[in-house]
Amino acid sequence: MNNKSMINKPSYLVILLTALSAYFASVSVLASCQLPQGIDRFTPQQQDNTLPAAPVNIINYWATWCGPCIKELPTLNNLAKQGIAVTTIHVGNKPKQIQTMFNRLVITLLPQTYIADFSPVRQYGFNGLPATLIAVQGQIKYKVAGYIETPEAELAKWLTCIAK
Amino acid sequence: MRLLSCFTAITILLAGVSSAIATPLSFFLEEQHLGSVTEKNWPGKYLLIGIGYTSCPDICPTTVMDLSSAVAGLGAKADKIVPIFISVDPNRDSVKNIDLYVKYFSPNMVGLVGNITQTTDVVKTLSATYGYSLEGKPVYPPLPSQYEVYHSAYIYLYGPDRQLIDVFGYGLGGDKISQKIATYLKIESL
Repeated sequence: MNNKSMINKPSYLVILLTALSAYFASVSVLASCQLPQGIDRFTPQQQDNTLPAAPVNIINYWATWCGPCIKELPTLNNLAKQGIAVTTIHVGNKPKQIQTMFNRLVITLLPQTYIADFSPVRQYGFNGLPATLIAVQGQIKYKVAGYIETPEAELAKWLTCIAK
Repeated sequence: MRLLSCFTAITILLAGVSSAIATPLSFFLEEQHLGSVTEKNWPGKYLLIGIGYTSCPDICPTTVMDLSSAVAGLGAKADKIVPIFISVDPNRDSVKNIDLYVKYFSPNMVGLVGNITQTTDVVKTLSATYGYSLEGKPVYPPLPSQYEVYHSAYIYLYGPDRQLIDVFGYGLGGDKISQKIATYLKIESL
């Protein structure tokens, strides 16, 4: 019994040290990537456990009646082209209007997901659209209220940086 | 640096609502299909009113969405309420544009717009506020080509007698507004 316990102790220690090392490495990466202006650090009261554990995932709430939302869709599509996971969620059950807008803007890589109303967006403290969350390894870490003003190249560079 | 948006101004103005005693609703505005309308249109109906404009620069308030979902949430009693969105940017919002905008949210939504005097009058009767700014400084009609709009963002419920019943804060959400309206309708039916 004692022997077994002695054998397992170093294994636990290795696991613990590995986990701590991975945690501090990820914190260090996030800290070393310079946060672009307009993007805020954010820890929601409750994480969305349904998010895929992609290195980085952009969750963008938008609507076809919202000018700034439409303005940033091509940028999000371009980020998706670069391999960044982007989840667009339209606020309002309007599949036909979503399809029409995507056709008009030649948006080919973004999902046409929709939700009925604004309540799920409001729970993250947003009061308008567009509203964007950025998750790292499935955990929401950043938010942008309103149009993402960060230039596309700078945004892509930062997202690639925090994905490491 | 992000420009001071209308939305930021809305938030700031939330604290500045007038505490004056509400006066009965009164307006003279235009509607795409009805032409000139006043508060006497829609007799016997409650009016749920929000103000705003359609050309949000970098963030769009959800006022019209809240108006729409608040009324939809009333189910069979929804026909007792007329949701109305009034533009405070008549310089850019035509009667046709505001109608197209509100109909996106609900076929029953009414979009109204007037001239600058009529807009000022209806905003005054609501005890609301609005104005225009450029680079942080107020501007007045005739407006420059570029300007921002700021306004208070409450939602107002008026009864069939056009007396103010309640005022709902921005961000309360359609569900909660709906629940409160349902309470008033229940009281009325007792």
